[in-house]
Amino acid sequence: MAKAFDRNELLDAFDEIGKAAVANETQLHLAVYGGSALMLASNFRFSSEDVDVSELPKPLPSWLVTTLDGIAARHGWSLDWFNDGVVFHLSRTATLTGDHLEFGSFPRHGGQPGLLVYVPSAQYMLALKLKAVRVLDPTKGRQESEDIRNLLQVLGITDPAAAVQIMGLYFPRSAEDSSKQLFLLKQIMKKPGKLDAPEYPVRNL
Amino acid sequence: MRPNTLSETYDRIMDGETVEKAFAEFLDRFYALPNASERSAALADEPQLTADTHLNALAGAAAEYLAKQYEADVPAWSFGAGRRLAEPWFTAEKPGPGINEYLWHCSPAEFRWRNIFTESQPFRRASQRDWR
Repeated sequence: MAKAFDRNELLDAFDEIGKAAVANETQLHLAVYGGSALMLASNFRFSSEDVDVSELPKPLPSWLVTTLDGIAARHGWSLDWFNDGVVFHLSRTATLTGDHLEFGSFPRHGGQPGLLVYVPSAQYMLALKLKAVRVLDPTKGRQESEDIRNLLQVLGITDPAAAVQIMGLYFPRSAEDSSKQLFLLKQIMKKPGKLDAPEYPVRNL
Repeated sequence: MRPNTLSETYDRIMDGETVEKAFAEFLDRFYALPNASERSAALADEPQLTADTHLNALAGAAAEYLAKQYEADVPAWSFGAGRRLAEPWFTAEKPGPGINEYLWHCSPAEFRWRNIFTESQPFRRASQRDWR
């Protein structure tokens, strides 16, 4: 079976990237999205298959390629385990300071930080989930529905229109034609969430 | 490492991997393949049949749908016995008249003829650049 991502292994990998950045006299500021962000910052996701990050420098500096490839080889992860393919789907209005929260600096145990990791705010994460709205997908629909339910609960949203309003802050064109989201949100909200108290940071950690 | 083929994806599911994770990793691999011949190869081998008839039909639908979307060869096994459901499967958490009707209309043909009713663009991943 493929080697699964584990939260601690991911944090160790961030430590390694942070140390390599310091050794190369630089500092990376990266946001993490999708399942990895939920795995890092929430209490309702425990695995992910790769790490979707904000735009990486192009070409990748050789020290970063060496570090990422070394981590992949040691853990049995795919060579593109750390990739910025998600950038294409991000909001053009979201900013790093306004719509993300600092998750942590790496390496974690003192010394100069070489990697600062951010996660999207709960609002922005909800907007990303609603724009994609993959809740009917045959393989991941249930997990997507549960993620949305948890984020709605974290934000205290009980009205589909309020959720769509948040999506509109980040994706105004998608919100203009939001009948699909409204219809599906009503379906999602019919079912109670599995957790009594889902957690996701609403302010800096 | 990610599964290289749909068949390997089902081997991992049978070994205890979740359907969601096994498919996600396969799709990330599939969408990164550079040409039609490699995509055809990723779909060519028949996945093992499982005790779950939904999963068996889903393999057929996935192979036919991905092949047509990405100009690969549709494997003959995808039309075989066990790759179509006797009863409809609506991929909603809580099927009901409204959502079932919605799925009935938007499900791609490769799913619909197998009695699977799902969203109009199944298997979307961030690694895929041609959806918004």
